Amino acid sequence: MNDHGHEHKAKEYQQKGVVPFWPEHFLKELVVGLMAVTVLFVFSIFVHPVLGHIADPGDWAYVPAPDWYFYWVENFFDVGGYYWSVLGLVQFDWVLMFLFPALGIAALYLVPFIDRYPERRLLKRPLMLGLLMFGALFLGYFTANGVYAHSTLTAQEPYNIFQSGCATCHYIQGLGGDQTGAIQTPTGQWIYPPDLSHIGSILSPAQIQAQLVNPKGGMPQLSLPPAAIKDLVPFLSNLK
Amino acid sequence: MYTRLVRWIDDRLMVSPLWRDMADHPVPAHVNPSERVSAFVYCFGGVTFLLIIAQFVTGMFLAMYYVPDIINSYNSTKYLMNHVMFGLQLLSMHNWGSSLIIIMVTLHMLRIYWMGVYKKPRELNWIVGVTLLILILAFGFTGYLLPWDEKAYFATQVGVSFTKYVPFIGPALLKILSGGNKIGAATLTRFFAIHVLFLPALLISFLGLHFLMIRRQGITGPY
Repeated sequence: MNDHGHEHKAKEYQQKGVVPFWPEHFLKELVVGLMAVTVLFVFSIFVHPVLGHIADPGDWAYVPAPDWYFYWVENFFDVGGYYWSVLGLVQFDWVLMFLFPALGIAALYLVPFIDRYPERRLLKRPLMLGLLMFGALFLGYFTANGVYAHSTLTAQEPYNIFQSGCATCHYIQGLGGDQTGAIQTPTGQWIYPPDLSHIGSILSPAQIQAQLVNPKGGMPQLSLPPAAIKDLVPFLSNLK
Repeated sequence: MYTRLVRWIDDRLMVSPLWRDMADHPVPAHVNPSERVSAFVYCFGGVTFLLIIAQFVTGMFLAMYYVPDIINSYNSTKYLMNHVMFGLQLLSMHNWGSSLIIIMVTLHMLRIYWMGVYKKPRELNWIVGVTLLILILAFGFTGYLLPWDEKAYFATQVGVSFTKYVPFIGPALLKILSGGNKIGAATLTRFFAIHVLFLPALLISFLGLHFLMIRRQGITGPY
């Protein structure tokens, strides 16, 4: 507590080449910490999270995406599930979906007991180096693959919606459409659903959206979910 | 007067030995970034802790505006983003904080793994550390649902559905986690409670253990 004891300790620390935690080391930690918080603050000025449409459980058109650090989980189960069904192991799906993740978590917990090398340098611990590289490749591959799969899926989605919905009555570039949507007016004239191949140069995006939300001219009310409208408006606007 | 007051309090709390133990404990030169620049690798854990504190602070302020029910959670988030002064900034910091924590935790774990820090006598602290990692991922997962937009809803639906593959207790677990047969109002309040009450309590406890063991076992190296 007293000044004399403190001075004595300071000299002792100096000889050993160490510093006391307070205040010497704490100040340095504080500088690093302030840098981290500044990074957080600056990032948050320039890039903001986006709030989508309010959750609608009936939205069949929405393609869900996990947070970036969970892509690998979703993609591992996706890819694994595909090969699992190819191999005819569907009845043992708990092996893929529970046992493998459980073993992975157990392995992570047991790292100190797997690593029996007396050495500390990673190059002299080949098994641990191998496990680390396996882990890095595993996470990297499934994350990249997950991001790619998701972007492919979202790019494909408007076309899928068109095929499963709009194409019943309309056609684009000679595909889809038949007489299903034809209606007869009271004067006996037939009105056919228009060809949408060039709809983007006929209607503005706002007009397309209005037509989808509140159809006019013989088109039935489809009660499209928000994600479907969000996908279809740019898709149709680009048909020029 | 001031010294006497401090001494009076200290005679009763006996805090000063604890404080002296923490303040005077020697920090070796090889973890000191001002001695050796490469020592910055020893900072990842501390930075993670600091970011966790930042998450606590921004989270507390977010909770002032957030209403956890299926109509108002979305609307209160929207209100916070559009009409509250610094609201968007606050939400943004909380959002970025979660990503930065994942990055710093990964770097921290890589350092521990690279140097074989978890070897005897530090095996238990590795186990506590892995638990902390799982808790942090659980924070990320439960927090994702709270704005109650479509992204939140459908991602949670996918994530929660994985629990049904747990043998024997899977279906029950799925029902407990989502508070019913599908993702809905009960899931939201459940995830809110987990995110702001259960997980912080667990996180603080395990962080306490983590730091206690670091003090007991000291810093490794230099290697």
